[in-house]
Formats: sequence, structure tokens, C-alpha cells
Amino acid sequence: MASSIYLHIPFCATKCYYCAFNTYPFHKEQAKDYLVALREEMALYAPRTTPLSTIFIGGGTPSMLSAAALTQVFADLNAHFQIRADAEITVECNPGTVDAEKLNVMRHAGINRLSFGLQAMQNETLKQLGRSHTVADFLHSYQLARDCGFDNINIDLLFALPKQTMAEWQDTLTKVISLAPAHISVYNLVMEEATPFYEWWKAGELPLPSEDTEADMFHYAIETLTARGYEHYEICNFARPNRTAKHNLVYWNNQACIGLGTGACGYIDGTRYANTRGIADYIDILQRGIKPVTHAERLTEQAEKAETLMLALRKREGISLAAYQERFGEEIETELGEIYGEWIDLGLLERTETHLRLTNRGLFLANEVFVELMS
Amino acid sequence: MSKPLKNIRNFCILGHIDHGKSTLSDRLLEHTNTLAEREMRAQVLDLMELERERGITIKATAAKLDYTTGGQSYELNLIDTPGHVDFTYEVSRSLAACEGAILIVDAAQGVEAQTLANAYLAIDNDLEIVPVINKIDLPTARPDEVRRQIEEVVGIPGDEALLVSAKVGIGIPAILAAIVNRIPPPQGETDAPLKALVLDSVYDNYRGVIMYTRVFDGSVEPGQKIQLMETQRAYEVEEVGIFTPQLQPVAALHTGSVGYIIAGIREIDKAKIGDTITHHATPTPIPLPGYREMKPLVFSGLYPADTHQFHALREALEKLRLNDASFNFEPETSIALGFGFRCGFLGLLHMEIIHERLEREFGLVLVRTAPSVMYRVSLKSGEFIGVDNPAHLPELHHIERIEEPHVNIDIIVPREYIGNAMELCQKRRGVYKRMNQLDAQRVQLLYELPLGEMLTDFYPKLKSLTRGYGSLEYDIGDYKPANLVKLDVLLNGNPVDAFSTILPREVADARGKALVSKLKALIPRQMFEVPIQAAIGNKIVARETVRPLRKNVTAKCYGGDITRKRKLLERQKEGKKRMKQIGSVDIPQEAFTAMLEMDE
Repeated sequence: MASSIYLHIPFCATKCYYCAFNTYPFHKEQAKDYLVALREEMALYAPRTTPLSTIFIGGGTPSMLSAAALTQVFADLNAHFQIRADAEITVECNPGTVDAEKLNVMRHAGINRLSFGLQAMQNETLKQLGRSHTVADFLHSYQLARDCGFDNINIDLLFALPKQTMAEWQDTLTKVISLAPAHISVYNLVMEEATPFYEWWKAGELPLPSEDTEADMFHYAIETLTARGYEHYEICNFARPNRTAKHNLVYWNNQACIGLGTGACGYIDGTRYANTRGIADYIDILQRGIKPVTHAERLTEQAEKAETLMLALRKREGISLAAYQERFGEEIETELGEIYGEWIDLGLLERTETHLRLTNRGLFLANEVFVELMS
Repeated sequence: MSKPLKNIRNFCILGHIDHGKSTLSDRLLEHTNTLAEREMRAQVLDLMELERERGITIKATAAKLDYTTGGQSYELNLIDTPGHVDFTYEVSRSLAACEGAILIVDAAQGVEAQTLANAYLAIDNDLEIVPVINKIDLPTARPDEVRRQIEEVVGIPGDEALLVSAKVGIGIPAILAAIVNRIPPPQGETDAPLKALVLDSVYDNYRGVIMYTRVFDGSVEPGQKIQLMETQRAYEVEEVGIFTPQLQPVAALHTGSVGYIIAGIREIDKAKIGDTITHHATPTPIPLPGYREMKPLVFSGLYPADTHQFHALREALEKLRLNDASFNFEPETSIALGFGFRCGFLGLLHMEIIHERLEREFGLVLVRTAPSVMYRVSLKSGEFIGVDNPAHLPELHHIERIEEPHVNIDIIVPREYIGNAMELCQKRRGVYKRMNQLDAQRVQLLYELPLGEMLTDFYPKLKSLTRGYGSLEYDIGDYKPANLVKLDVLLNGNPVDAFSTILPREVADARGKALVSKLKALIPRQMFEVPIQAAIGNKIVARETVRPLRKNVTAKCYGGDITRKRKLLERQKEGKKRMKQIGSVDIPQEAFTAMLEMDE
């Protein structure tokens, strides 16, 4: 049983050069069929949910859908699932794709959180990333959202971008902090295969900052954001008090979540699954009333342990010793064996009264730790 | 039925690498219908996949060709020979089974170092030489010039050279005619006691040892009891046969013929190459002279990247040795690399081939340490020891003297590159011997230099300094004393035995600095600072530091795709496993061969 849903809207106006997400150009007719298929899929999963406490509508660009289409999606969700009154319901928006009408529709449908993919505060940088909006577009969209009454807004930022200097990154952070959003995510750019950036990078044509600059940028973000009242509660995530992303915490606590839509991933009753990535395929399968799952893996206990540790250690508070013991019937220390002591000696891990967590240093080297957790 | 001796010819094809030996063999097989065309594959005699890929012959092989001319039918036994300096011993072995040799020279390249070396081997073995100028179809062919070189440089009449293109099939009948007319038939007593030479031996899982042999006197057939004269062991012959080039059983092998004998021998060491086979009951009184046994010259450690593969590596080495008695191995322990084997090889190519075969045919992943020669060390205590692993060199104050093996090298280069070639030899502690003018364009340079200097990149450097035109041949020379020291490398304060090298005192400091900075570039940043030091005895001669890793954290799990993230981490872990951990420092495999690619 699950009490969270991720719903994927796979359309984007353009594809950013670094993006490896499952996205396609928008076709009105196809979008219509897609929403019908989504409804079918909701019906298949409805019996496997308890009242929902988080919903995340991501993409792609969900905000590309028309106000009418968005209304439809929310009506379908409400028809199939029970949604708790205090549920966190997020929609991902791209600057420049929302207007007052859409925002009002969302607001009335019960959406209480927006996530804007801004990435950077310089037009030149946005252009180099292949983003389809300007800084002004973002400011306009953000203001509209605030005017509509959205007070729980996240802004996604990227650092370690080609040619990006420390000064530029500082400029981006300063400007974003001045907008006082409830939540800020800072992600370092990752080279994903099958993206233009990856190809350019392989060809030696993408001047990325050095590892040291990247570390300095990350360090600066942590220092600045925490000094300005944002709680650093996950490696890449910062929130004002009581504004942590509940939906993302579901992932980090390795709890069940249903994934709906093309390429969406879910985790239910100990099994991880992924849906087919193609839109036509997705629609076709659901017309036959079958779940569009292409990969499913029942986690071994070992895999579940590794994933639980890897996800929970992303949180600044770390992993709850009691929760781990309750879930797996053994202590973390026993599971980790030798490396437990080694990591503490290396200053990567530390133990509090109730939790095991990454140190400040460990935070920067989280991957080195996670790799060792793998069997 | 056996052929009278006058209708048998035993010959081989000699020449510099790439001058077309294997292609010519194929053409001869084709022309005598030894193989139907559909059986023809380019370079039939190169049996191993690796041989075909590298375009070189490693093991000698043979084929019997049936050829009719002037109303007479002949049995022509072609013995293919390896074409690389590391395998010279195989060439000389093949020559002992022949009365004549085709010396193949590339019409565009002309006489090269190996052409000369092989021609001299043939002359030493009293073989009749049939010179052949190959590749005359090339636009750059200079047959008249090459004819002159054969006459003046090699010293055999140039007007006897046949003009051939093995590739397009020009001049093949003339070669066959020359084999019959110019190469003498084998001598031998058909009624004398059996006297046959073991040319080579290979191991077959089902049949045991298959001995390749040339019968000099008498004959041999299944059911007879034979004896190997050196090992004094007797065996019953199960099968005899000829090479077509596949093995084909026959009723008997007669005087003058080349073929194989299977006699239930289970260990390849019992069928020593060069040994004489005779009848147990009526042995020949005098064995054949045999061969000088080849001793390994180049030594290197082979270690499984995954320590669990140690036993698999041992089994693989044992299997390979069944077919190649010219390399040896013994268990060795390295503090850095764990359990592995010290292996001795005939040369660098031999080493690379064995390494590659172990990985390819047995699915192993290996770490190979830098190659070393065998040093002779006299200790102050009056004792002498051989050191083939630099890590085992005793401490300096125990050492009276170190001697290292030298080679006599013979380099042929176009005139404009003499300077480059000499400079390279000089840098590698070479001692100039002589220079010979070969023709208007090319000279032959003779140097003596330490074999150890040839192990670090010498041949590739020579090639690049001469734009690919330089050719090289060497002969093993004497051991000579030198002022040598051991250079150690310490990682994080711990000496890494696999990085130790022995080198001349005067270059040790500079080499230490270069090695340390090379290692700095190869060793990834770790969770802590890693000092890299080079030391001679207790004296640190160079130091660099690998700064600690500062950041390795991936942004997020895309749309909750946690499985993908986990798989990614699992792959990274696999990658880490392939590195060697020393102390707690992860070292990638390239680091262990860094010594080999040092810039001058």
C-alpha cells in the first residue's frame, strides 16, 4: 500500500542540453489521449493506496498543459484516490509556461506547492543550458504565483555549469534568496549519457569548472543558505522552517510511492517498477487495461538495506537508528561491519544519540560512501 | 607410398616481418591444391586467432605440398617460421629441418634487419637460399635496387632473385620450380636406425603431446617402441602423420619427411624440442646435435586483479605452458599485489602475447608489473645471486657488484635518421660498435646496449624517431658490471614493491622525479592526502602529493528512479574493485606500467 503518488507529464517545449529525462515535444491530440491513459492507470492502482499524503506532478513540463487539461487531471486524481486534507500537492512549472488562469485553476484544485526550474539567474547562462525562458520570464511567473496565493514555492538551481564562475553562482544565490522562496534545491550539473552536453563533454568541448571550484560552489551555497535561515535538510535541499518537501522525504525514507505516467518509477510492497518510456506505447498498453510496467524488481533484503541507507544518509539528520532496527531487525552497526568504524575514523560518518549521519565532510563525499554500501 | 629422397624437398620461408611470408605460404598451398579454395582463409598457417590479428606467426607450423613437374611428383614440406625477433629460436629450430630457404624481401622496403639476421641463420645452417623479391606490384617497388642489396648487403647472387607478388599471385610457379631445382633433396639412410628431430611439440587435451618431427634416418610407424634420447623415456607410437596443414595420419614417416608423431606422452617436458627420437630396441648411436635451450630474458609479475582468481591464473599458466615451453613461472608474493607469479619470457612481444592470451582465452583480468632483466649480483659475503625482481635486490651495503645482460643490436635506418637513432642508443647507454653503408639511402648501425634499456619503450621510440623506417634485430651478448641502484616508490609512506626498479645511479634521481609526477597524474584523489615518494635506500629523491578528494556527490534520484541510482553505484563499485588497494590507497592498473612509458 502507498500513500504517495508521482505523476509524470512527459511534454516539454524544448529539450535542455543537459536533460536526460523522459520528455517529448507537445502534441495536443496525443496529450488528450495521454490523459485518458493516465486515468486508466489511476484506476489500476486505486485499490493499492491509503489516503494520499503527497502528490508530485513532475515532468517534463506539467505547466504546459492547458488550464482545462490540468483541471481534468486533478478531477481524475480526486475521483480515484482519497486525498488527505493536509496532503502536500506539488506541480513542477517552467517559467514562462504559466498564466493567471492556470495558476488559479491549480490553486482551486488544491495544489499547494509549486516547483520552478529556474537553474540560473543570468540570461546568457540560461541560453547556454538550452533553457527556453529568460530571467524576466521567471520573475514574472514567480510573481504571478505569489499573487495567486502560492506561498510554498521551490526554486531549482544548477551549479558547476560550463564556464560558470564563482561570482556568477554567488549572484544567482543572492538574487534567489532575495525572493524568499520557501524551498531551494541546488544541484550540481551531472553529465548524463545521450544528451548534447555529454557529447560535447566527451569531445572535450565543454569547459566545466574543476572539482575544487565545484566543491567551493557547493560549500558557498551551504554557508549562505543556512546563514539566511534555510535549513539544510538533505544534501541538495534547503527549506524554511516547516517547508521541507514531504514528497521527497518519502523517497529518502524509502517509503512506498506509486509512479504514474510514461517512464515513471514506483515502489510498492517491496517491488520497484518502471513504466514504459514511449507515449504511444503507454497509451496502447493502457487501452488494453494492463499496467504499462516494463521493469519490475522485487528487492532482496540486501538491496533494500543498501537503498534505505543510501537514501536516508542523504538527509542531514541521517538515518534513525531505531527506525532501521525496526525495519530490518538488526542494528546498522552490525550491517555495516568493518566499514562502520573506518568511516567514523575517516571523519565521514558520525553518530548522534538517535541517528547515524554524514559529517560535513562526508556530505561532500557521499558517493564514496554510497558506493561502498553496494554489494 | 613413400617418395624416394630425390623427390622430397624440405624448405622454409624467411624474411623480415611484414615482407609477406604468410601470404606467400598461402599462395604456395593454393597453387599446389593442398587446400581447396573454399578451405583457404587468408594466412592459413597462422593458426592462433591472436597470430592472425597481430599479423605475425608465433609458433612454427608445417604443410606438405604435392607438386608435379617434368613427369615427376614431389613432396615439398613447407615449414613456416615465426617472424619476430623474440622468436628467433623458433626460426633456428625450423631451419634444422630444412635443406633450403626462401628468403623473402619486400620490393619497396628492401633488406631489413631481420632479413639479414635470418639470412645469416640460414647460411650458418648450410641451407640453399632462394631469394625472392616480393610485392613487385606495388607502385613503390624498386626490384633492381633490392636485387643489388641482396647481392651487396646479404652477399648472395642478386640475379638469382625471383620477382614475385604473393598478393596478386605473380611468379608462384617459378618459386615452385626453384624449390625443386635449386634446393637439394634430403640426405639420409633409409635402412639405418631411426633418427628424427623434435622440431616442436604441442599439447592436445585428448591425444597428449604431438611432436612435430623431421626424420633424418630410417622410418617410424604406429606400434613401434620409440625412445627420446635426452629424457631416456620409451613410448609406443600411436599415430604418425603429415600436415595438410591439418594433421592427417599416414602408415609411416620415412627418411627425409616432415610430419608428426603421437606416442601417448602426457607431459610436454618429456618431449623436449631438439631432442632426438629413435627406436627403443635399435637406437641410433649418435643423437642429432639438438638446440641450445632458450632461457627467458625478460621477467615480469602477473597478478590477478581479483585476488580470487589466483588459482584460475595458475591453471591457465599451466595450460599455456603445455604448448609453450619457452616461458616459465613461479609463485611470487607482492605486498602490493598479493599472490601472483613471476614469469620469464623470451622478449617483450612474447610477454605481451602470453598476457593477452591469459586474458582472452581464460577470461582473467591481470595486473602486470614492469618487465625486468635478470641481474647477477655478487654480495660482499662472496655469494652470487640472480635477481629478476627489483624488489628482491638486497640492500646496497650488502652488494659488491651488479652485472646486467647486454645485447648486440643491429639497426637499419635511412641516412637522414642516423642522428636520431644514434642519440637514442646513446641515451640508452649504448656503446657504438660500427656503421655500415648499405646503399645510397640506408645505413646499418651496430651497438651494444643493456637489455634492460630495451625494455622501456626502445623499439616504439626507434620507430617514431625514424618515421617508421628503422628496423631492429638483436642478439644476446654478455653480462657486464654497471653502477646500478634500486629506486623504490612509497605511497602514503609504505613502499610499494611492485613499483621498484633497478636503474643506473646517474639517472635515478631524474627518473624518480618523472615517475612520481606520472603516478600523481594516474592515482585518483582519495579520501585523504597521499604522498608519493621516490627513494634510493633511505634517501628520498622526489616527492609529490595527491590532494584529498573534496567532492563526489550526485545530485538527485531522477523522478524517484532509485534502482537506476543503485545500479550506477554498483557499477562504480565494480570499477573500484579493479583497482589495487595498497594500504588504503586505490591504484589503477595503468600505474603499474607507468615506468614503461616514461618520456626521456
